[in-house]
Amino acid sequence: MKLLYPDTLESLQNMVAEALAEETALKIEGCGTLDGVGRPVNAQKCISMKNYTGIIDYDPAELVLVVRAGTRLREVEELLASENQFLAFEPPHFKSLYEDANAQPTNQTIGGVIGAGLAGSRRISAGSARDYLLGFTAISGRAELFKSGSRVMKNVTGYDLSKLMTGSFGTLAIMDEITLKVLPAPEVAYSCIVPTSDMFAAQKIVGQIFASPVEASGGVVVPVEIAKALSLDIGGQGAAAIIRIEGIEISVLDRINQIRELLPKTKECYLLENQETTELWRALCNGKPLSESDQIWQISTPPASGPFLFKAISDRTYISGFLDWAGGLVWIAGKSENLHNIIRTELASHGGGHATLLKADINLRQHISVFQPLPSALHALEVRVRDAFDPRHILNPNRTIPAIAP
Amino acid sequence: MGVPSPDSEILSRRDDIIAGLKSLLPDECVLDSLTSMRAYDADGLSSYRQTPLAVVLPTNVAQIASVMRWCKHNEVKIVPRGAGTSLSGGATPLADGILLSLGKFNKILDIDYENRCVVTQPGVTNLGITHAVEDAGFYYAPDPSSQIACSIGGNIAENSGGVHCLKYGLTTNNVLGVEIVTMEGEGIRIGGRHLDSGSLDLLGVLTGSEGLLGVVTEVTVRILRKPSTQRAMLVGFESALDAGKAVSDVISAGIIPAGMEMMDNPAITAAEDFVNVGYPREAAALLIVELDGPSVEVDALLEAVERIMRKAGANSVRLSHSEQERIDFWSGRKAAFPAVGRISPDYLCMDGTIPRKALPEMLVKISSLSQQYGLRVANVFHAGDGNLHPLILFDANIEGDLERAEAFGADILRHCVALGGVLTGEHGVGIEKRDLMGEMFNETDLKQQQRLKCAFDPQHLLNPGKVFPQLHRCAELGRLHVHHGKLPHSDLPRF
Repeated sequence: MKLLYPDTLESLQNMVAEALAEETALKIEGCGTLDGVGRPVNAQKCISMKNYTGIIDYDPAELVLVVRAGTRLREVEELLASENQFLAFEPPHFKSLYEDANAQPTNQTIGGVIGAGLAGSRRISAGSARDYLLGFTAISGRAELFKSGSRVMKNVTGYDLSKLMTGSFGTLAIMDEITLKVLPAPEVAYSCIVPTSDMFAAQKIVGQIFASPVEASGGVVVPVEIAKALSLDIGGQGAAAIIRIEGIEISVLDRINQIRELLPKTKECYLLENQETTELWRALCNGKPLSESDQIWQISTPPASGPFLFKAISDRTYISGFLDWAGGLVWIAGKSENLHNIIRTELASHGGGHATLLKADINLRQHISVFQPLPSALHALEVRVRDAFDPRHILNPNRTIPAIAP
Repeated sequence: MGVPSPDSEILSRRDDIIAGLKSLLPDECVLDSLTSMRAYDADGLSSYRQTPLAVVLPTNVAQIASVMRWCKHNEVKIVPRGAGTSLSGGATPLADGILLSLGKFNKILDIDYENRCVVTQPGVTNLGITHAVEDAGFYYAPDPSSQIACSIGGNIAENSGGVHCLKYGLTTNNVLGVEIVTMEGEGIRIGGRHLDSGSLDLLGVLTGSEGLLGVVTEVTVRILRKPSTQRAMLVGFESALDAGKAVSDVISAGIIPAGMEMMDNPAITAAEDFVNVGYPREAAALLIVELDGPSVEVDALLEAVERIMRKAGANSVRLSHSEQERIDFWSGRKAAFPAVGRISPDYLCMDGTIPRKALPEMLVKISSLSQQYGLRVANVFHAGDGNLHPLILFDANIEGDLERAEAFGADILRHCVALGGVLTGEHGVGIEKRDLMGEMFNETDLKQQQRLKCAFDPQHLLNPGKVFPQLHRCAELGRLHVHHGKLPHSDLPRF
């Protein structure tokens, strides 16, 4: 595959124009960290955005950051931290999932984060990448430069194409500049670990806390083996609820007391302070306890369905995993060749939602639906929407839906 | 601005169209007399009135689907309407189209506390959702000032905001799923009680699409637990510029209040005359800042905000000490539009957004435009997120006054864009700002947006004449100007 490295808007546009004229398929990537997500792309050329970097503008008082798409997530996080700000949607660093678990540093790009629509544990309280993309400029599959959105917080002028770009895996357009909303970082963060007999009991606690005014910023349910992998002491119990509380210290301590009052008298709550909390949630967001597995799924389902779905799947095949998003995100790692069928059938009968194969060898990703299969009318609509941006299917063909001849 | 001129061929088919609709729906669901349609001839942008061909009020999704299929087949335009409170003319009828009212879709279908969401029909009011769940301590966060009347389906169409979206986001950040009926008459579910789509985020693009892509027939929104404490602060300033700067200072200090609103002197006076809750009449500008959360947090942050305000030059600070007092503080702000309605026969409400730091500059500009046009203006801002609502006062009975007010408004919006802002923060483009779209987007941008429209509605039958200044035929938009290996932009140097 011929590798192309655009570093200016003009070179990027020319590359797409040429591919369009030749009807050559293009693989689009940042630094390739997320190469293992989605179906394999068959393309003659690859546009790598690794040199398409740079901070265009950062205005902390306006809570706005503008970067070029290839800018590294790590660099952005460091820049924001220098002003006590952060990306509230907590994008995971997935390098450890696909490569050496201890590999540092990660080269994951902002374009990749937006393209894959990534969000971490704070999805449940703060939203996802979709909620922080204020605007962008991009080159469409028609080789045209277009923009949508802006750099202000509140904007309903025209269609909100930012939402469409987020999670489109480079199949609509290649992003040039990305404008993000950033937020003040919390002063302190504590984790509350509540050991329980099983995952259902832990989910009940998480559900109770999220239905209270505590304003937790994360709610996770782990079975004992994941607790062990995270080095959490859960006192011989079968599972644990993990709650994260963030904000100004006086408020965080007050809310921890509220949690203690909500818990049944027999339940203990262990605290982890700042550093340990940061490390714990980074590991959870990045799926670290499962990173050794060859097949990993993420399933979004109504929060109360989480433990039932997990149990139903584990009754049929050996899996490990845990629940994030207060029960609404089920992480599953397994080996079975039939795991995808088990997941899709159990999901349909346990609350519904969507399941994505986050990691698997290329063979499996080529032969099963990596993303949730859509009902036919919705599928047809999505194909028409894609065609509106990339009529000749030159951008990442086959990545999300099986390639069809242009 | 203006409504598109009707197609006489369609008008000549009016009797057939009404007969066709009556074959699909019970008679009482089709209104076709001038008297019965009068209530539907305008939305909140009431300077523009037009009687539609007919008004249909279906009672179930199958009826909506059959009407849409029939209209597609017979090439009849449809304007969907919720409660008709749009301020941008999103639901302004077309003389050569039918008006599809979702008024009978007024039931909440399910309240799911376990998953913290509500499934509702689109005609339920925004406040109706909160009312349904407040006994259990929950609420629906987006709170447009019209929340007592506006429908949740309309909120989806317009991506409505409100005074608390600074912390809690707009409609788009609070909706989990919708069911729509497409122009083909197909029912499509997008999202549900879970988060995100696992596919293209069509929910995100439908939200705020102003009724141009599909008709929303069911909505799932997330609900939040009410914060344990909410307190508000009224801060008076001698200078509006200082108040504008204070807003930026609060955000810069890392504090995101639940709401941060600003009113200028004409708005303060009008509101105080109306509700009489003790707004400082002498102040050039008033800020209302609300903090919510645990009481220890609210008290600590209020103290911090007060320090910032005093440093920025505030000369009066009042804190709410009871829930009633907090509601009183807000009552003037929430009633600002009707209050201004009492001091002027007519007003035009603008809705641009600018970067916060440009607030002082914008105030100076509005004041100079006010002198230039000889029209008074009262300013109400969602200052925390830079969303402006200048109310331009005029008298429609004075020849040329409406046109002058519109030209004044357009100048304000142009200046918003020049300052790095946008034409509309929460009211939508509709017909009101349609012709200004070129200020913000070039032809390529607009064509790309219209190609998306074509994916949903290639015949431009759903709410045409709104949002886009110029309609292009979908076949023309789809054409690719690449032939036989010849590149577009062949004048560009190659790598």
